[in-house]
Amino acid sequence: MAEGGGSVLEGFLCPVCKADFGTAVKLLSHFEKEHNEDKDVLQAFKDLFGKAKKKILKSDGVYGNEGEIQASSRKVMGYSPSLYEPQPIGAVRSHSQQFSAVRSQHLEHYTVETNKLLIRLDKILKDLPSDPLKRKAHEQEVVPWVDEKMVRLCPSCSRSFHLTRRKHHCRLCGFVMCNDCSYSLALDTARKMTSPISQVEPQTELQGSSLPSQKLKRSNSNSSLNSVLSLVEGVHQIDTGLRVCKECLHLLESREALRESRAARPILIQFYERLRTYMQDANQFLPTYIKMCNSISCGESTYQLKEAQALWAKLLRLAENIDSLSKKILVLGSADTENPPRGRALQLQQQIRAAATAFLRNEMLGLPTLPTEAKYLEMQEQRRQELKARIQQEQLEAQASLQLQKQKVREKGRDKQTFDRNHVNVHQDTVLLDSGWTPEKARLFNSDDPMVQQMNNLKHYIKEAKLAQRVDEVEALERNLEELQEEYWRQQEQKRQETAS
Amino acid sequence: MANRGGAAQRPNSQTQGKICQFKLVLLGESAVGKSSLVLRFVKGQFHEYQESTIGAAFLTQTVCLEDTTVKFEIWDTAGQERYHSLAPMYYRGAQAAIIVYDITNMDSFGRAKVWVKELQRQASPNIVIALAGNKADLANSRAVECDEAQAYADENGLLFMETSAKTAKNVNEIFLAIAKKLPKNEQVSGAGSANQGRRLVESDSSAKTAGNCCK
Repeated sequence: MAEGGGSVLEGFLCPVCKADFGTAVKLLSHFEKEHNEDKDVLQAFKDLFGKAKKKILKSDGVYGNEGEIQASSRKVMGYSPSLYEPQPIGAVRSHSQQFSAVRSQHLEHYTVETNKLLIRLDKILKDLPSDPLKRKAHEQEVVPWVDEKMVRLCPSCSRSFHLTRRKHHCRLCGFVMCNDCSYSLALDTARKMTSPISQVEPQTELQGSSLPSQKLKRSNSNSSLNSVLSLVEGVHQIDTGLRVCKECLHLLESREALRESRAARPILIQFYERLRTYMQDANQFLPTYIKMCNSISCGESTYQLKEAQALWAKLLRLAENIDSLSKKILVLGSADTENPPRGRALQLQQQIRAAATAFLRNEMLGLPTLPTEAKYLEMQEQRRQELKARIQQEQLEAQASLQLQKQKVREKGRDKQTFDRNHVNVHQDTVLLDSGWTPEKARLFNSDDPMVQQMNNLKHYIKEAKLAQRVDEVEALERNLEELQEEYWRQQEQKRQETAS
Repeated sequence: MANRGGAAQRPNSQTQGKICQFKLVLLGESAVGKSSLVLRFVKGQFHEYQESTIGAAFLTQTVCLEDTTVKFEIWDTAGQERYHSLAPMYYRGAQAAIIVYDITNMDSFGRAKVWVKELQRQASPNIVIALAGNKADLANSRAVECDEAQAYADENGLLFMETSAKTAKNVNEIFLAIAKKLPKNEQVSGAGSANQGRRLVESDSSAKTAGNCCK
């Protein structure tokens, strides 16, 4: 097809009339209609297409064919993979080395270019004179400018320069372009780029990623026409920016983006850290709350009920936060149907959620609740009564013992029967009947295992003791319950070992 | 719990406000009157038809000696054989034990002796053991002679009394005798030490100031 003025035609061309038909089907129908008389040619043509068709189908329709075969074989004799021998892998050639060579070359190129730009930028920014003329000289000193007489058209938009489309130099590579093709790199942004590591908040970094690259007017200098124009038009002069070309800006921006992506923390980490702070807060408040709650439920007035309620509310809020945040972490990214979290990432999310729920269950769920205002007042009153009674009791005792001592002193001289004295004392000792306490018998729990039964008893006792505000009793009972549980566990373990062996 | 610990650590200059807490366990054959005895001591009550104990019952009572207040944490164990396995749990940390037998039942005295042996072997070496011959009101049908029991008690260094939960005879006395015999050293107040009662010290003056602000 080299005929026809040397031009090369390509496409679904009719071999007779050389018209392009776009698709194979159209071409075939055209050929059959128009050039029907030439049977041989048609046959050859059809064969050619058939071969190509087969080839194409083979390359990407393998699965379809295999599926057909499998389906049929399944129908006939049931599927058996042993019927089909594994196909040997054809010629293999690794391109990764070549790829990495090309890639590293590119990377090196970009790195070198970017570093060069950064070094220049740093030099320019270092003691940059504010005076426009001096600044220009300083900029030119760092980056030699291309002779503008050599450039006739703007290299990026290929338009000619004239009075209103003046030549500008990129401050970083020294090349010439027109005003429309140049960008302004704000000095602040430039400084941030050259600073070793910017410890900036991720949010501000995100804002910074869209670099302010506004168009700018030619720098103000006495010799430039723009300065005159700007005076005439009253155009505001932005002299804070550095004029850079598209390529340089792109290089710098991509580097900055890379740096940000390295510094930026995934949302998961941010969520997780917030979760941790909630948990820490909760851990910090929990002991205080439990102390307060215990004190208040004893009727003590060391803490204000309101304080405890506020703390309770705070803990509740923390628990809610932990719950919702961990849920959020669990479903993080699952809305993205194309690329939902998988494998380790999903596992991590699930485990964070599990840890959070475990924390809530262990630490927050079992928290004692505070008594109501009325109940609290009642308890306070009760405690007051108890205290009063005890004080009276103690005063009585003190008096009694004082008398006893006096008596002893008196009797010491004349009576030597100290043993008898003591014996009488035994009868003077009083048993405080009102202070005796025992829980009501619990008949509800029946178990074959005496230990289980006793544990149930104890739980019931503890409940009763708590109701009766018997702190010491509660403690003793709880200690015992613990012992029993340990013992029970040990026995179970032993049994298990015995059955195992 | 926290406030309790705080109270126990409060410095004490006077002996007046000394509170000792002791764990006491009641052991003995079933139906000898352990629960009745302890119910008489704690509540001052007596039931003709006391139900049999399941597992172990828990009671507390405070007695005042001349300079100390002794708080008993009483574990009233069930006498039935099937609960025997629980008993070690209760006498293990106990500072005192009352082994009860029925004076009208010779077998129960034999069982009491077995209990004494078991305590001597297994319980804390400084445990104060008291032997109580209960149902003393039924002296008519006595099967265990008082002298025999007394002799046995003397041999083994036990406190001994014949008690009656029904008539309240010697009930308070036996507990008081135990309270007196229990060591109440000021030095040894370490928590968890097996034979020393945990001492709860509350200074008199602090209690009084607390009282003032409530008045």
